[in-house]
Amino acid sequence: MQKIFIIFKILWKNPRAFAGFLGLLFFLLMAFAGPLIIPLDMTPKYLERFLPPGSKHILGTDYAGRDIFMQIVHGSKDIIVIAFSTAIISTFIAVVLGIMAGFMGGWVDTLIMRIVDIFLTVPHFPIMAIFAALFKIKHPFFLGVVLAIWSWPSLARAIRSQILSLKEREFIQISIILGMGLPHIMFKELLPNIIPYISINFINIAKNAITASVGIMLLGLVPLSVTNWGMMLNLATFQTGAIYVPSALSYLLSPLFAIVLLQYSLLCFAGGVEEIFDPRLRKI
Amino acid sequence: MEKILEIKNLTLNYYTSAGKMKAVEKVSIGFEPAKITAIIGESGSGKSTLVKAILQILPPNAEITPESEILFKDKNLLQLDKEALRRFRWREVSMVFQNAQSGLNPTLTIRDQFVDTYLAHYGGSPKDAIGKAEKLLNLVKLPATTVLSAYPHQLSGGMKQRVIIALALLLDPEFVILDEPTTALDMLTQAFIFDLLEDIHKQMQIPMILITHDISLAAKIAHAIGVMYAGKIIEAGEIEEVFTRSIHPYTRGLIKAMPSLKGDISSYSPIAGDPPDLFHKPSGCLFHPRCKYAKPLCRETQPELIEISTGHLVACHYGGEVFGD
Amino acid sequence: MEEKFLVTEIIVRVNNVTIEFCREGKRFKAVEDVSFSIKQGEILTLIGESGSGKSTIGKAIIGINKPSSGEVYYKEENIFSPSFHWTIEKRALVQIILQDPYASFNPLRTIFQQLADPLLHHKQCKASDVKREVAKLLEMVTLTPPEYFMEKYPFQLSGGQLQRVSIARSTILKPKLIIADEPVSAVDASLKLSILELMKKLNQSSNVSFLYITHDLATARYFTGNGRILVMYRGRIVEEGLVEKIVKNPLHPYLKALISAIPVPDPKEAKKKREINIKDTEEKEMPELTATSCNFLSRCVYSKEICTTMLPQLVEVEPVHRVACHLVKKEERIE
Repeated sequence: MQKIFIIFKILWKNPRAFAGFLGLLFFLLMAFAGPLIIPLDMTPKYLERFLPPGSKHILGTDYAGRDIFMQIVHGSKDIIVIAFSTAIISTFIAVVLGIMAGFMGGWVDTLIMRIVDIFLTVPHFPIMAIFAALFKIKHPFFLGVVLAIWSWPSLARAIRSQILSLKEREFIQISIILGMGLPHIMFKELLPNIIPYISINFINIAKNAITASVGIMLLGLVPLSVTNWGMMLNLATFQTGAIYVPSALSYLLSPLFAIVLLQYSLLCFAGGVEEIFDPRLRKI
Repeated sequence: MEKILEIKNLTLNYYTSAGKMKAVEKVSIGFEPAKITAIIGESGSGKSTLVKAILQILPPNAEITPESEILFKDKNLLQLDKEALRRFRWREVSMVFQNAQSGLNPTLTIRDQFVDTYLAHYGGSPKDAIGKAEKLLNLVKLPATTVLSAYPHQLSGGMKQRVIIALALLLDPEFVILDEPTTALDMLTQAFIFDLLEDIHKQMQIPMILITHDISLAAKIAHAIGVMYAGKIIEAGEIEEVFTRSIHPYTRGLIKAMPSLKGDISSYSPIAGDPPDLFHKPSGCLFHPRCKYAKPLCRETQPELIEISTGHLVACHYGGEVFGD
Repeated sequence: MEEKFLVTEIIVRVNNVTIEFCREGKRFKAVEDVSFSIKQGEILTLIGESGSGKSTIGKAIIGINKPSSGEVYYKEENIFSPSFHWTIEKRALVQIILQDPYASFNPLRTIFQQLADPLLHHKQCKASDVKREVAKLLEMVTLTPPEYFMEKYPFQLSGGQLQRVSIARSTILKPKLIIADEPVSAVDASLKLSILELMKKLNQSSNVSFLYITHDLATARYFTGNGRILVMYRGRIVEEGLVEKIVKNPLHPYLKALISAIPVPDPKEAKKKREINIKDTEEKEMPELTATSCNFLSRCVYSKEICTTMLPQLVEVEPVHRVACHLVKKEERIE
């Protein structure tokens, strides 16, 4: 209970982190409450294509005359599920395997690093294409799982390097001398010390998942979703000529801006996360 | 006697996210020419801040109050402009810092460092610089030719420190400040360096300010001493006087806390308590929470630094009386 | 009538240990042929400068540095043999206090957590009692009120205070030997003795042995009391004996030079001219050690021919006092 109180105090005193927190809250609301408020209407109205932002359409319309803001709102849920599930799953795997490889060394390290090497050297898309032929993924969460498979290896390797150097620190040596046992040292002593590293990588993975999901869609592995922000960006840039039509600027910038805003909220919030884990950074 | 450097009422505060830290409080001390003056203090004493104030190398969150003065040759150092400060540093005063924070650039040879410094302040030719460098390296008992062509990482800790001392003397400064010059070095090297400093002082009669936490080192080469505690000077005077007739309980406690190879082991004892919290300094006398002899007055009023006998200053309400000497 | 037998058992035995490292492509011996044992309740001090190997041998005793030859025995078990397992009972024998208190603690966990962890992990008390046990530990090292210190993080304590927590922590497993590696070097001068006094009290009350590793002969004399001191130079023990004897009557040229180099807190004494009889050789690269000459040769002002041809061994000169030097007068030797 006291910990939650401290978390709120930190966020309150750190304006950036608080802003980030609000931003995330905004997107979560948009994702889960938005579609209930704004109905989805994807019927094409070509007469209204590429309308600039106005009173009827806050962000304008797309190449088929459909409201952009509506698409952003409906796309947000999938985006958030994909981005967060990819990031959470791959970070979890990378942290557990990276810490074990780095700290335990020996055959555990060799085994894990061989697996990492395999994942890093095998090309992703041919495997995905085979996957596409065999399975059809309907729910964005499973898309997150698939994307996570390709994101965890390089993070695991990076975490292992961090652990290799951390393990030489005196307080870790003393933990060993106190007979504290591997699980305690790995997850209570080492893990908190790499939180800043993990949080930055978490955000990166989330961002990459959005663009990667577009690639997956184009492969046909996942049903094409026009409201996926990454897909919107792709359509706007390459497929519907929006970059040639001045009034279509909104179609190009809206999904871009949404992705950037989500990222930035995560980034600002991550600053607060660091403060939660590292008391030396706190200003309270 | 005309003082070469005089600090008057220096008060310095650091503003941090944890609040205002009074690092130095109303410090007044004079340094006489041709003498070595030691400033003794432990962590939180303010001695390093004092040095930084003299050299004006303070971080941006430091504030010096307007009534502070640091007078050098009738100039107030706190009012000099950037150019004048640059000339002051190194030509009038030079510094010898702790080995680890050395002024040696790891990417330049020793020769280059001497030449660069010389030319930057004097102009002239590299030959002049090298000639002087060789003389100084001989003075600090280093083989000039080998050392000049070496990089800092190729020298041992003691050698690096001697190079730094030689560099400090390059521009014939008016005085030299040494801040914990031998902390990272072993006992034997430390002894040699201090013997060297003594010789240099005898030969060149250059005034030195030695900042250290080790009173034995002060005892070895200093002529005058100032003891700092929690940002104030609490005792100052000629060295033998302060050591043998110390008045402030802190000074006495400090001397008693230094075991030596002779003397009865049971005669040594530590000073009770912990170093002061500079953000929440004690009321009245800053030392009273740790003082065996503290009386009610000590808790209420801060004692002023007063001259108790010629040249011997103490900041203590009961100075001397409580010991029953 | 009961007869009490005082059997002082040997807890740790270091037997002809040599530890080699590889630095910049070259192998060098940080510790060479060092042997000593530590009995229950004893205070043993290792004196040496950096490079003497004193910390290296300390880390070998705790199991961190593996010797290239020789053994370290915990009660007659070789801790580096493949059949040795670091069970809790073995870990409980020897604990360590390091020089830098801030590096010895996890910066992200409170003092309470870092003291409670081992208590709970080794089930030394019930979860409901742990707060009281931690308070007792803090009171033992005079950090009162304990509640104030428990919730603090390491960076919020001073070096001296944190080092006291280190001492408290080292007692949790109830070790028979505590290695203190430069425990007061990073502590304020006025507080050094309070830390040493704490350790001395521990030794007297719980009979726990101490291996005190330091470069500071003055604090060594203060702490060691009636114990022995081993002087190390470049990996070898060059003199050993009872601390009072050795300080009054140093025999090895290195120890003599060291004693004369120690500054004295008395201006009259300190300003007297004194000779440090050692060659002021300042080289980054010390000449390589050979098996056939004394390791102090390059700095010794007394060296004779025999010093270049034969490595001196430790020889007993009087009871408990041994020196490794060819030139210690024959009359003082007991063959």
